[in-house]
Amino acid sequence: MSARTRRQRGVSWLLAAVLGAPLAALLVSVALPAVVPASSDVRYLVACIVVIPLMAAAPCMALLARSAARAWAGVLVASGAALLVLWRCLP
Amino acid sequence: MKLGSGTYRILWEAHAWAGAVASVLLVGMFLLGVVSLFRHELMPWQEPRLRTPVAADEARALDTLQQWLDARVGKDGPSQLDVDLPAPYSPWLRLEWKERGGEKTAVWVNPLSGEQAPERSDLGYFLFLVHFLYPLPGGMLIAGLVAIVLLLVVGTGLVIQLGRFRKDWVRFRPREALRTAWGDLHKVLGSVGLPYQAVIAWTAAIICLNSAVLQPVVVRTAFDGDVDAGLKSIGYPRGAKPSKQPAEAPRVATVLARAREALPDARHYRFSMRNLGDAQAYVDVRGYARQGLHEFTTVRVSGKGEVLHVRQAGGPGATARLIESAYVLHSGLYAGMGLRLTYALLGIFSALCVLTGNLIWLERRARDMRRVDVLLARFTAGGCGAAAFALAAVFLANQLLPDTLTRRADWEHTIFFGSWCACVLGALLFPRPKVWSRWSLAISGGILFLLPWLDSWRNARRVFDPAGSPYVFCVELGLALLGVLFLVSAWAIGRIVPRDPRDARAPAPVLAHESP
Repeated sequence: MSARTRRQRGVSWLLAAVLGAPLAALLVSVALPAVVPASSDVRYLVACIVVIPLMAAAPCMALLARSAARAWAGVLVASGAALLVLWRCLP
Repeated sequence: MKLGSGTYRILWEAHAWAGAVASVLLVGMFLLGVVSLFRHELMPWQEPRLRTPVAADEARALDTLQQWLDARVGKDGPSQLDVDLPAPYSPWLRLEWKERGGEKTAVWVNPLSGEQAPERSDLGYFLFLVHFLYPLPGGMLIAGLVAIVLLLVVGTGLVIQLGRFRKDWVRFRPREALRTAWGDLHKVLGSVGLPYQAVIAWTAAIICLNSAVLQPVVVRTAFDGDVDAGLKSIGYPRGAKPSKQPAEAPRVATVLARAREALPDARHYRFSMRNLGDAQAYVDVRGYARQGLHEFTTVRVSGKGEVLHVRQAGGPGATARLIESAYVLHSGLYAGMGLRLTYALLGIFSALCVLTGNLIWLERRARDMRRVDVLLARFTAGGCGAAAFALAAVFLANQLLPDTLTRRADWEHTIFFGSWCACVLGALLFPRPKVWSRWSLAISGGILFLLPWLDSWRNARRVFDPAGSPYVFCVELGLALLGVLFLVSAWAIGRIVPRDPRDARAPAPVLAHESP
């Protein structure tokens, strides 16, 4: 693998960790209350409690992925699922 | 626990890069946070008319307020009005409302004579808002993200330092190589401030992300779009809409009496009046009731004097209690002045910790700077100096702008942001960013140190006069100390000797400060 290819993969990986993963974590946090079977107040509480650990852990998980493609796949799957839930809830 | 060299290196890089990128905002947020802790005590400094005590008791102040309301409500007066009642640091009544064009107007009213004067400056409150980046578009979200980065930096720093705490707590070697000295100082400041930084980062993330993202979206996902239910869950239900039936102004003495009956232990400090001049008028009486990490109370009283809603400290549900605890923990409101002074000291330590971390990072990369490194180095150097420079510039503007200037407070805000941006841009364009940053700090320190003398000259009084206003005396002391701190920091940065050009391409050595 050439140095250029390695660097390109590195940038993609870094972007997944720095931009994609926190955004996906944020989307999951705001979508989660819609699927938690509890009272409204508890659902809000769940969002408040999970948002920070999720956003802090997501970049680490992206960096720990075996490849940039896997990191992006994780980001896209999580974001897609969250957006699907939000699409059903938001007008 | 001993980390593998690969893991250690990854954690070190993550710690350094995240800290360096976020440092541009972090230094400023810590410094502004320190100032925000004393935003109430700053009022007599920013508004000299508040320095003289006013011999008016509560009944007299309420009577003056009632006369003000009766003269305006139902005529050309505002329909929404916020009134801050006299307090030890501000013996005048402060009234704020929105004009028909949406522009905010704030005035001070003397509770004894009824004299009305336009607000000269909102310096303390403005710096409090900038601490959360609130005035910037999307600022609260950015502040939330910066808080999470800080949490990441603190977490990686903790793991890197595991097993070394006892040794590094007291190790400082100023006579060793420069990077070693910076590294020691960084670790001492980081170890001492670690619990504080972790709490501040966690609570800031909750406050900012909740306000910027969670509240607007979660009301759809958790409350099925019912905004009223969402607001009720945190204890601030929406008020009634105007009925278009005219009515007199609420009787403020009755309103305060009802609030005291409902919550006798709270200190009621503000009236938030809505639908003034309408039969559906109501007043939210805001209060403080120190109950551990729960603080804020509200009693809603109708225009006719009936209690409509009571919010106990902490609010009705678990979420309200979590958010309020985060805010109270972040602001140090759960104890007295001693805690706030400790917070201020730890805040300054944290700003210095970020700064020393930045210097280590720059020193380590100085041997092989790529274009992105040079840009980031200039940006971070400019950002760290800019925070101090903007702070000094806005305090100087508060002294020098003419009192008769229209929209004077807006001018102060513009000067703050203008000097911040100019300082960052200067570092990007100036050939030697370290020199730029050093001079920014030195000039800021000089300005802050001289400010007490400038104020005493302008107001024809003795400087550092303990017999005068205690608030002004403490602010003078604080400004002079901050000025000295900036001057010492500028001197310390100046001690960085230029690297020998012959070493410029040498491979980066093993971290000197990590050696046993």
